[in-house]
Amino acid sequence: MRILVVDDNRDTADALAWLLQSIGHETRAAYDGPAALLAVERQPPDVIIQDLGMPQMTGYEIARRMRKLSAARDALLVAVTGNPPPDALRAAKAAGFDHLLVKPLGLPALENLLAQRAPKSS
Amino acid sequence: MLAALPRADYERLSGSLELVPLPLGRAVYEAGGQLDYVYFPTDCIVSLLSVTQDGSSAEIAIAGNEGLVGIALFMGGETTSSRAVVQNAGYAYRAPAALIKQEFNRGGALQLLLLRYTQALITQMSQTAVCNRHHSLEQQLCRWLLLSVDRLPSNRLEMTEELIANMLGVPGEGVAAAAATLQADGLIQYNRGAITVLDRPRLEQRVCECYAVVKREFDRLLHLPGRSEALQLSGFIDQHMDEIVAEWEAFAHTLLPAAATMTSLALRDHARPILQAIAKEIQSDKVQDKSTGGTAATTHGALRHLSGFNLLQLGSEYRALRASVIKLWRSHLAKEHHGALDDLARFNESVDQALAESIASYADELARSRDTFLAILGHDLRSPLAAVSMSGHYLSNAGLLGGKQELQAVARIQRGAAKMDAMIRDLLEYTKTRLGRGIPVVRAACNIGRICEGVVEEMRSGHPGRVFRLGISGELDGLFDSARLEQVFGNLLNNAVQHGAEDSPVILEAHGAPDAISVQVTNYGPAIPADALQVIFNPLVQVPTTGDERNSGSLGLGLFIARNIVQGHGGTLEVESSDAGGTVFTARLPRRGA
Repeated sequence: MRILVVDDNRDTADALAWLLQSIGHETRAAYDGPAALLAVERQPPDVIIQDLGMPQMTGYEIARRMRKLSAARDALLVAVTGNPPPDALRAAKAAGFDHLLVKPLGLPALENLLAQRAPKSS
Repeated sequence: MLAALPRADYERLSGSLELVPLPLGRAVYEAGGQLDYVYFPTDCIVSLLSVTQDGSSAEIAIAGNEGLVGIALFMGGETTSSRAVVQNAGYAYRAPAALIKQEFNRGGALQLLLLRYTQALITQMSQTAVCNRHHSLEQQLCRWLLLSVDRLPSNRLEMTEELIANMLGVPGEGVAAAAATLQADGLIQYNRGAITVLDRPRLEQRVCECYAVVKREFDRLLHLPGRSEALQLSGFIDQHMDEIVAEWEAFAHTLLPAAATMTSLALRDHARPILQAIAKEIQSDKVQDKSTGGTAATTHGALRHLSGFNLLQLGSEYRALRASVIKLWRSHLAKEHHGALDDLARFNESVDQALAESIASYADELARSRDTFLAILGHDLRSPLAAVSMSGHYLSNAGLLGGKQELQAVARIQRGAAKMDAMIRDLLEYTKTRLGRGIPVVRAACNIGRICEGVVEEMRSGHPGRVFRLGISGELDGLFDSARLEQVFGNLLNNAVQHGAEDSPVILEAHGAPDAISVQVTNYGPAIPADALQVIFNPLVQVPTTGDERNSGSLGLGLFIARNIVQGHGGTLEVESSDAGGTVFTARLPRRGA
């Protein structure tokens, strides 16, 4: 599966990308909104895992723009946050996310999500 | 006069004092009669009269609350040729003659006071003689009115012209004429046997010098060291310590629930030294520098924090202390001071109210900014922690590590990250509750028995040296937030492991009843003291452990969060603790839609 990880904390983004790679996925990492949008254009991903708290362009804003790109229309869009505000899930869904996960991500939770997506992409 | 006595002297008398009514016209003593009691008027006036053989009389002096009736007794004469008649009805304390003689002979404060009073009385008698001989009837009437009103709580005298005439030893028509003039000038009002003084300053202008001479002498002679000490606040606090502490304590107990378990002793221990320090400071006229070392008040504040008092409650304790002191002091002060003191009390109340409101909002803001800071800290720690955690996963999954030691090191990283994550989770749950959001509860069908099994399994692997027992009975299916309840039971078990005796089991029992499911966590060991039990669910509270180590990884939030989650389910979480029964936490979770 092609997975794009978006997080302004490079270590976090890279760590997740490496972890997913180690279980057999093709991963890339982007560290801000414009880079993420560019990465989507270049190579449409199956899954995008994206931090909500980003500087400049918020996670919601990036999601809305991604959903407008044909390359990301069918991707599974997963929001990640350190401390979700009460209406985070509703706001995330409105922005185009499919799921909301709380940090730190456990491998089982991730694998669960990816398994949902797997049949569609294959 | 009694109020002017030092406390010790007064206490020797007080047991034998008897408050008696003295109606108008009552003869307290007859000329040459036997004196069984000495009378200390409180709000009545007794007139001392010289009586001639044909029965006509003239007043030689009056006695009110500044003095007493019966000086012949301690002067050694045993009896007197004057008569003592109640001129204005009221009450007096009377003391047995023998006791007064005995106290007089001690040679203490009472003797000094009685002798000085006698000298003042002689001045009054001499001045009366001069006044009756040389001054006009109107001046005499003014003197008599002023001296009388000085000894009464009001400006109204219950008197008839005829009685006044008898007192002054002059014809009734003369008194009537003088009274009519004073009334016409608006100085007094006279009707139906009562005289009301309306314009005291002008009455003082009209009177001869005799009034001032007598008053000055009484003020000079009776303004004794004993009296001034009794009126000074520092001395008053020292003398009335018990009363003040009792009042203060009564108030502190109204500050529930924080004070519910507080023993009286806990407050008394501090109230006394605090009050003593205050009394000392008033006397020395300056606040002592306490920058070094703790005072009773310092200790008191710290202990109040431990008892779960908030800033506002702590402040109101001191408000109550001040109000108690002023209230008690007022009742010991002369009436002329009451007005100013009442004003001051009302002013204090208003300032205190404003201060309390400000403290409350300030403390709220302070707490909010602290909680916001903690929320941001928790949030921001999660991102680097995610990097640590996922890198750990990566290393253990990728098969990069061959050696056993490397795998152990990675496992340590993983465990460390998991513990940090649990602490951050607690912290964020706490800030959510504090910032008014509450902990969200998402219900789904689950089985509490299975949740308990899972949690106990985890505890067993985490604490291989400890014994855990699980008891499950009844119908345990229901609609609950299983992840949150895992957290509740985990927190309770962690707490039990931390505080229970190491060689005793930790017991988790779940029982399903028709209306609710109850879950109990029990550990054995020394009981938690009542004071600590009171605040055990408060956030950031660390109940002292049996050993001297603090349970690292515990922020003192576990029980606070557990209770909030149970309450989020509409349930209750309570605790009981005794040496015999151990410490038992009981969560009661009502079924919903069951």
